[in-house]
Amino acid sequence: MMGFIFCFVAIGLLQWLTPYWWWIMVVPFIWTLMQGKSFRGSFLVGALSAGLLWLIAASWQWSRSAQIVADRVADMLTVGSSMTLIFLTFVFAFLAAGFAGGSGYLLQRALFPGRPSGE
Amino acid sequence: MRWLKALFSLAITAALFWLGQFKIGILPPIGKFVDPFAGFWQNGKDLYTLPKTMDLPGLHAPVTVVWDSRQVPHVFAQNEHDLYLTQGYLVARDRLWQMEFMALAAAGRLSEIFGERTLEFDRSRRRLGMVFGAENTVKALREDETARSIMEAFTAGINAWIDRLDERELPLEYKILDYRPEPWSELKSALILKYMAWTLTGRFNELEFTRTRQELGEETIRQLYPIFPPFTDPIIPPETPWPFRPIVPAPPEKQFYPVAAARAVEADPFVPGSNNWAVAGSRTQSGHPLLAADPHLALNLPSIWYEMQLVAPDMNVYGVTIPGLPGLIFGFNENIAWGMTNAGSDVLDWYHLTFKDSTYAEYKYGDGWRKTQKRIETIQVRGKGTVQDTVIYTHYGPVAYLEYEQPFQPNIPRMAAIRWTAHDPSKELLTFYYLNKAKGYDDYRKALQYFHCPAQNIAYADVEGNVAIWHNGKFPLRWREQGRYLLDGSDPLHEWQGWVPMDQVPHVKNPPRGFISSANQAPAAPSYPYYLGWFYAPFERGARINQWLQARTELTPQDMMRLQNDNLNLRARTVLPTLLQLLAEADLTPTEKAVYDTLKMWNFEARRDLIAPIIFEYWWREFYRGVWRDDMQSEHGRLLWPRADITIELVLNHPDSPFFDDRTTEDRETLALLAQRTFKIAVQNLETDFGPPGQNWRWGKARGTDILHLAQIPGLGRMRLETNGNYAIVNATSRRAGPSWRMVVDLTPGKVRGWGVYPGGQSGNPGSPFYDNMIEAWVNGEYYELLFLKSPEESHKNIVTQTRFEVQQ
Repeated sequence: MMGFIFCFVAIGLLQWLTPYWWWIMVVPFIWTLMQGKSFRGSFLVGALSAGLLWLIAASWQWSRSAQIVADRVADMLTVGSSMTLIFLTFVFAFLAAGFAGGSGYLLQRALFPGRPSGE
Repeated sequence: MRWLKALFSLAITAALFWLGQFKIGILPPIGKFVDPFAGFWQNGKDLYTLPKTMDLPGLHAPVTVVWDSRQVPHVFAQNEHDLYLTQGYLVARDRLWQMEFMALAAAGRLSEIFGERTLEFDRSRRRLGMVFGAENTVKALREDETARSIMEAFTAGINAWIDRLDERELPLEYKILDYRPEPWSELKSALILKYMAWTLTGRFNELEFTRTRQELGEETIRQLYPIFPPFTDPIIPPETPWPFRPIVPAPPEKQFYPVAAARAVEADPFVPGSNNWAVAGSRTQSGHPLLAADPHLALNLPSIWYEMQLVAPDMNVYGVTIPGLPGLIFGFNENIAWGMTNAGSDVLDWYHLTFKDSTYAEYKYGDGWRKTQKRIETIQVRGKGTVQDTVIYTHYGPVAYLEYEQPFQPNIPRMAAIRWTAHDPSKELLTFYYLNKAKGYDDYRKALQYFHCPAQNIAYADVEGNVAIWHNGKFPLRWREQGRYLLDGSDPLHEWQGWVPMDQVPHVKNPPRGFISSANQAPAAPSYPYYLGWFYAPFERGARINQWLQARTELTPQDMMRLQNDNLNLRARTVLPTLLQLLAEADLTPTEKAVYDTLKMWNFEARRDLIAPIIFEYWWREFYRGVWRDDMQSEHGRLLWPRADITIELVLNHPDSPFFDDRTTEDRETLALLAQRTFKIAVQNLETDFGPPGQNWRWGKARGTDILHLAQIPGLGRMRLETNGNYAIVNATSRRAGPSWRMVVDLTPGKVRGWGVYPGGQSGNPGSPFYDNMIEAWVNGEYYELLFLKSPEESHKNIVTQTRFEVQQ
């Protein structure tokens, strides 16, 4: 839970301050490299924090101002509707941050094989 | 094992990062693009909302901008510097991506964005000397103090916007195509001028026509390709006298017959055209002039036009500009109104060259050899590094393609140099500047002196009651028909002989008939002494406008709108009754008979709810091809086909012409047989394309109009609009082109009013409702009254808000 909150807040803050999307990969990776206890847990820390953050942010943008652009982009990418686009935004963040989180943990296990793990 | 697992997971992570950060094929970088904090989700409808008060770097005094309900900015500045600076800032705010894209396209730099697939396009722009022409224009503009200060202020305004733009606010197209805007420069504005010059004057058929002359001989050429096309009612009334002594050069005795193998094209492809006219008070209800203008161009989103009002001391003008150019290009002020159509006169020739050897260092000229110059062009190709291209320059201009190269367009000759007025130093931007401020006819005349290329028919009306039109531009002085065929670059006699004096170009002021008009047709009757070109628009639009105006008095602005939306197909009205008479009804199937009856009942209007227009379109196309396909065969490919107007002339006046015979058969086919045969084929084709006669044959549905995004990005255009009109009709709306701005101005003194509409919207942001909000009105032929304010304090129900730009402390 701690990891989830940290990643959610840190990614949100860094994305707000800088225009880089890849914080969703960097933050969970660093967190799980230091704190990861299991692959599954580490994957979910990244996947859920970034996935939810992007889901909420995209939904908020959509409801506030971005309906027209989302419809046009959905048309461009031939994905049907802007709802699908919100879902795709979630899926991308979920996978990218999830694998980054998982990789952080696995690297930690490879680098420090002696460290106790949660598995 | 642990390392294996870690490496495997890291590989997937790296792949996801790659997918997120880099563009793959045509897809945007996914992560960057869908990121709700900086990706496309940010490009919503309230992006770029300006605060009520803000600093604008570079201002000398505060500027007030009033926004109306269509997001048109009305700029009130206290000096001209601030006016153009603010114009630059606002145009960039709404249209930055579009204007930079046009400049990059003109400069041959699209491969920086699209990679290898635009390399040949880019190479062609370099070979045509687009940047060379733009550089010459910048040099000329910088020599003029007024022009220089306008350009500097305008550029500074655009750059002030670019400087404040943060990554997340980048226009959507930059995010989709994954690149960033560069600082603006004066060269980029000049490139946009050249972009328009190429669009409007970069049309030529010397290569095909040289071949056609070889194949068909001089006599047939005279018969099928007249200099003055049939049925044409020229722009300048034929009775207009020419009170000057012209200097017309004599042609050289020796004709030049180069061997020119060419692929050729059917005549009547889409050519950008336009209409404009002005009616004197003698024909209007108010007793004061009315002016109407609608330039026809390929239709795209964001729209080519951007609407503004510009107010500074001694100037209050309303109209439209092309994003990237300072001032307003079409419009009106408190004294005058003006609008342009493309002149269509020939300002681009090809000179066939003989090089001394394969180094291309020298070419034959007169009795000796002249040296070429080489310009190295560097094209950056995304993902592939740089490509160097050597362009050979002669004293005429650049050589587009060498013997062994494949031209980008089939009508560009190899081993020939291009001589084009757009390469010469000129100051067209000053025309807009002086027109915007013009108080009367003398100012209009002064303004026109600066407009060299692309030559335009510039219609004029003023509150004093004058109407006028000038076929204005810098026209080469030629012998008759010089430049119709490839010219001999080694013969000094083939050089342009100087220039047609600008006060001797076709023009008329206050003609007795009480109106002036143009629709890209031949500018003057054959009695006009100078040869300006021959491939003008056929008769239909010009003749219809003149007939319509001639028949009416008591005209109102609403009448002008009706004429701009006039859908009468004059081609059909001229030729269809004769064609229908030729059909043998007894030989028609029940379906063909029904189609025949529909055509017979037709009132010749290209209206979206009718099915007759598509039938005529299909039949005419088939008939036209049937007439010429066999005659225009050559072992070197097709030739330049005679045009529709000459075809109609043969049908009406020479029904026994041998051209109706199909030379490929032994029988002798008649006009009637050809009409019958092509009618049946047309009906078959219609059934194949649209099923049995019915709703699917409706003009609006079967033809329709597509407004594509400028970079053809799917989803960002508006497709299948059910429009009226057609090419060669006053409402010249076709599948991909049409009236790009419709404007009507009433010049009642003290109460000048304007109406306008264009198929798009003020915002270039596809996420804004103002991206395409005027399209429905445009499709339906409706107009908006243009809010022509006197002061920023004026109140009006359509005023939405104000922005005050302050001087930065």
